[in-house]
Amino acid sequence: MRTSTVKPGTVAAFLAAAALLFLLYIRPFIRLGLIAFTRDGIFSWENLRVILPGGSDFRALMNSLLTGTATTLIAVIIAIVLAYLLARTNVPGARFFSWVFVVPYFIPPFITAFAWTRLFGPVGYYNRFLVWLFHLSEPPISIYGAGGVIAVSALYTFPVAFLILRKAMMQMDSGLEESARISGASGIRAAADIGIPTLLPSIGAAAVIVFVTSVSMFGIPAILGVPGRFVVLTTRIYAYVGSFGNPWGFNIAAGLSLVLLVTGALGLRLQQYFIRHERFVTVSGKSSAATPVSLGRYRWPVFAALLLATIAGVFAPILAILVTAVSRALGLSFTWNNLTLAHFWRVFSAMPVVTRALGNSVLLGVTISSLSSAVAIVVVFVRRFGAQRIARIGARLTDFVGSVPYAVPGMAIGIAMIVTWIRPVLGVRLYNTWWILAVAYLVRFMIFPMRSVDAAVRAVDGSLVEAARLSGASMTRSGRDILFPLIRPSVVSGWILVFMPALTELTLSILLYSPGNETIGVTAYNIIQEGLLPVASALAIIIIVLVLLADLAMRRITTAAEGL
Amino acid sequence: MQKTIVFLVLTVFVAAFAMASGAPEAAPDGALGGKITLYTSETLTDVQLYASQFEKLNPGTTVEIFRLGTTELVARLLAEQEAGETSADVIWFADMALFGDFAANGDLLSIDPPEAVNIPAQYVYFGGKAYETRLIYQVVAYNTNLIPGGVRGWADLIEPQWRGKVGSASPFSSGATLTQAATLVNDDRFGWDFYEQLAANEAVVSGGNGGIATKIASGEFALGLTIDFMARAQMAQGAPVGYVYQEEGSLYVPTPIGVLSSTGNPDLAEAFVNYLLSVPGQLQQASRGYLPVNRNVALPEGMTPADDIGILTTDWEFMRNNREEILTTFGETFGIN
Amino acid sequence: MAAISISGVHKTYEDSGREKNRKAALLDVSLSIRDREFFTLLGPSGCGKTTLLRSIAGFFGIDSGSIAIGDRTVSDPSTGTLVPPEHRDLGMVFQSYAVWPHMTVAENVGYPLKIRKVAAARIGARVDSALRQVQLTGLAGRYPAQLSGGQQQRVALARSLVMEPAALLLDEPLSNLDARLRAEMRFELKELQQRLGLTIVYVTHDQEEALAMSDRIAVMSEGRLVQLGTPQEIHRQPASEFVARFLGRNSIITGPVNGPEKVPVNGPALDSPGGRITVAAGSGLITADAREPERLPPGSDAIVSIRYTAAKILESGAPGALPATIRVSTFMGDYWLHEVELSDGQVVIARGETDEPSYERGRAVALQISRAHVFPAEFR
Repeated sequence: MRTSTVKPGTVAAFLAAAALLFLLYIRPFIRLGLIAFTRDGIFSWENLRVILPGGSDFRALMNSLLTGTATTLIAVIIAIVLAYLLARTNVPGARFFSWVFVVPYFIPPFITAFAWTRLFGPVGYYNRFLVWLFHLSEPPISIYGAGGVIAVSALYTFPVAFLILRKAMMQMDSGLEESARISGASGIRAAADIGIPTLLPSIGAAAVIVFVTSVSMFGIPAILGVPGRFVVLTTRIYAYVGSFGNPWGFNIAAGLSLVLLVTGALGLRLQQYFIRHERFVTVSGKSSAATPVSLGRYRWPVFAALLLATIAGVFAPILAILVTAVSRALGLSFTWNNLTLAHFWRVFSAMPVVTRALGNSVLLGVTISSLSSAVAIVVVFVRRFGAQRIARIGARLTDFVGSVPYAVPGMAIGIAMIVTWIRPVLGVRLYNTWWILAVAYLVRFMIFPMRSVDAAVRAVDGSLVEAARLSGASMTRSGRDILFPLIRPSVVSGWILVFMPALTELTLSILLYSPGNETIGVTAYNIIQEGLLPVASALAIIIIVLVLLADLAMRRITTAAEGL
Repeated sequence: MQKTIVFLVLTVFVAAFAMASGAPEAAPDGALGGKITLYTSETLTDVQLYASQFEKLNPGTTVEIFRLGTTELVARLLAEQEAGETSADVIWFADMALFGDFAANGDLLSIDPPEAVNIPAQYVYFGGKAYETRLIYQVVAYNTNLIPGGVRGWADLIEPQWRGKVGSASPFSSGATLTQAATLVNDDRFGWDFYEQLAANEAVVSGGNGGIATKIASGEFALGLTIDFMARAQMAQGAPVGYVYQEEGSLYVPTPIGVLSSTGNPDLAEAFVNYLLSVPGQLQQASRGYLPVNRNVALPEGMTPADDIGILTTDWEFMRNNREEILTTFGETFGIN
Repeated sequence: MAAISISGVHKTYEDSGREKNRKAALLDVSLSIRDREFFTLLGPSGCGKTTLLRSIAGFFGIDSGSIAIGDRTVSDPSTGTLVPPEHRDLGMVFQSYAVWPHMTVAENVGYPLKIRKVAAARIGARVDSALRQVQLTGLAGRYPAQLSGGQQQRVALARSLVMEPAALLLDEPLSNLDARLRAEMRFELKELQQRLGLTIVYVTHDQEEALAMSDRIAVMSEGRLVQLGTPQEIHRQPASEFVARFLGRNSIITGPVNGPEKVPVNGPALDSPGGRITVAAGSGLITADAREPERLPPGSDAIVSIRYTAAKILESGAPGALPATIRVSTFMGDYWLHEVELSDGQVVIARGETDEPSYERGRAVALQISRAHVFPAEFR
């Protein structure tokens, strides 16, 4: 029963939580806004003027928008086609392809960018193959520049759109399209007239996510854009913060971050709009089992095409890095003599910065994942089952505030962190310590376990808990004994879902790391930029292996739980 | 469920504890000990070798390395000082002008490493506040498969036949390249015209000199600007690379090393600088392809003696006063801001 | 409208990677649906009725056999014929209605005409006519979200009728409606079918629905056709224990065959094609109709199916009745349902009139059986 007496302890906890939320989540963005609109404490538009036509960063703004738009178009189209093939047709190996096409999203984007330079750089393997095949004098494709940034960004982001659309297609009432076919429409016509319009909200939601993600990325444009003179907002922010010479560097960086932030916020609103309209997709009542559309004689050719795409688009980049990692030096012919494991050896034993960074990243990953998961459990449970109203309000508040950063691009969070913590606050100095990374990661990632746990709790039939209550268990007791064991797999998968990106994160780390507090992402990036390609490749392979292992672990846990 | 929450929170505390206990220890009296942090733009794998060897010779010491391109490194250093605290003890990068500033401001500690007597006086800077431990030059390197006839100097970089196949580091990362820009624009033979021609020749400007050397080896570039030891390193591995000290004059890149006055471990810092100047340290650097400065170390085969290398003159005052403009103009010329 | 003929159809599920169902979905199914007939496929879930319906619709092919609509063969693997759904000229109403949410009622109903490139001017008139047939006039401009479930279903119906198809397929269309609406719609559908002379193939698991609406019913189980007949035939003479059980409220008694019996039973003598057999059960004999009495030699195991309406409770000791004890009596409003236990433990359900007395548990009574069916034990 919900009591009306309010315990002072709860009020204190509520106030403490509110204060902490303000300090960690709200104040940084207020400061960001302040810094963006002032110079030396006086109000000024100058910081934002750079993005206006004629300004030094107008081109960067245009390029960011171009990247976002083009990436979204390409990624969503690929996602629609693949989701349709794998969810609605009888193409063989659907389960395998569904896993493999999500892999590009796990691999840190800057490593993907690096991998593609091995394939489409001026002496990349694909380029060399094309030169040989067509007797060209110049490598036909240049990965550096707008094209490379857009293509690789699309490659990195399409899995997200793919997952959303695949789920929507599987849930969609197949009768909608089948009745169109009975009415006389061919398969394609039915898909176009009925299928696509029905899926429009899901497509919209997917497109928004892809757009915001691609505009917020740093690694890909840093590696592929800058050498081709293609600058975007994120690389500009990094340049302003990372080099000196401009006394207003931080302010302008804050201004540019605000632009990114607005993009993210708009994106979030749009996404919510689309999700609200998704209501009419799943129809009430039983829908007939979806009969897979038969591809007929195209079945095996489509399979072959997908396999080729997998090999050329997913496996080849990894293979290319591997080849570089085991080559003694570049420019040598590919003979047995010129192969070596020395670079791996060096990474492990002769580069303390790598082991240090690995330790830091693992520590950060474990800490933030555990903390976020713990907070998520407490928040969700209190919000739903809390005995006192103020506790429930507090939990709802935490949930809301914690969710907002989801839409905020990483760079903006990073800059906000810098301008907030560069001077000690209440005697606590965070800048240049491990803690500023921890706080930034928390702000960025806490929403994931919260969503995971929340979805899991929602999925559990309320009557299970009610049955426990009737058996005599209190609210908290039944939550612990009945609800929690049922959602435990989701808690674990939520943990891994934070651990993986936290481990390989670059965008936040590149702004907030300090000597001794490097993360593995920053270290790998710096080594790539320094040009030590074989060593960078060895490190990249190690990171990829780590990430794939974590992914396998997560799948094992979730499928075991679902009894698939 | 409580067990899980307790476990999670415990993990957090253990982690926090682990972090907190990573504080540097002060050196005990007498013996060398403790930790120093080196901020450097030197090639990571090279400087790692020196540091590891130094640690081996002085058990109980740690040399932590923080490596970034010069320009980015300087930005971070200055930002840290501005915020009131830096973790750097020893600094080693290619920005002579900045070292001059530091020396003048009292930011550098005056040290007197015993080995200093074995190096030519010209490599002792600011009255002992900074030292040169080895010599590097920015040269023009080329891929021997693509240019079998070799090159001669700066002029080859703007040859139309190499359009789009010329590589250079970016002054936003590389102190050497910033020095280069400051030197060439001040030279009547080159000026900003030279850079405009370079841009017109579609030179690729990005990152650091190491990457340029690698890409010349792989054939991505036919030729480009890189540091002589990097070219030598490629050649040592059998890559098809060659290089010349430019006939118009090569670019001498002073790369001073000094100890910050704010250091918590001046003895260890000085010992490290001393090691680099000593014979074993010099031999290590020579083995990586650098020109040694210690008189007692013989010049390795294949290296040209410093006296035989013609160099351009760099006006450090000019670089110091015009750093920002140089960077801006360079950025505009190559469209990389 | 046309007749549909299904011959020797065999289908196993494709291994699409998702469903490794190696059980045969349809095993040698043959039946012909007459022109203008209301034909129902009846059976529990998994029996293959939906698979058969979808094969007729053309959503997938069959492994062997053939399907023809009118005199056109639409599916025949032996000749490689597989006409796609859009060319089969059929109408179909789905269980979820599948009314397109982003189109108005008029646009939904007009879609088949649009596909067939009927002139826009004429579409309007035909849509109106179709809506009138299902009593939805006036709702042409609404969106499905604004309609009730029953109205949405009529939209689906109108959409199928507007193109004047050769036949209409309905896949459990009433199962999403509440009980009252369901009863109403049964009448309406039947009336519509008769008025318009439609050939309807109807799929359901609800035997009451099937019996109420159909001209003929095909009972299916595990991919096979188990019994084909009019509702009366199936109801009166279930061909196997499965059919008897499926129709509900049939008690199943097992026992050895006693012998052929020419003695008339109590109660009205109805025609019994075949013959009468007596079966020993519950310390007495039950006389039942057999379709093939030659398959029931004395001593063989038999299954007797007794409809609850043919079982009556009498005072204990009544002549010609089996001794039994009451287990539970349920008042159903229009009648009583008495569950009684015979002396050998087998249970029979009997019907009692409303004005009859109620019986308490354990009361000794007598069970009079006026009509029963018997088949050999292997006719499960």
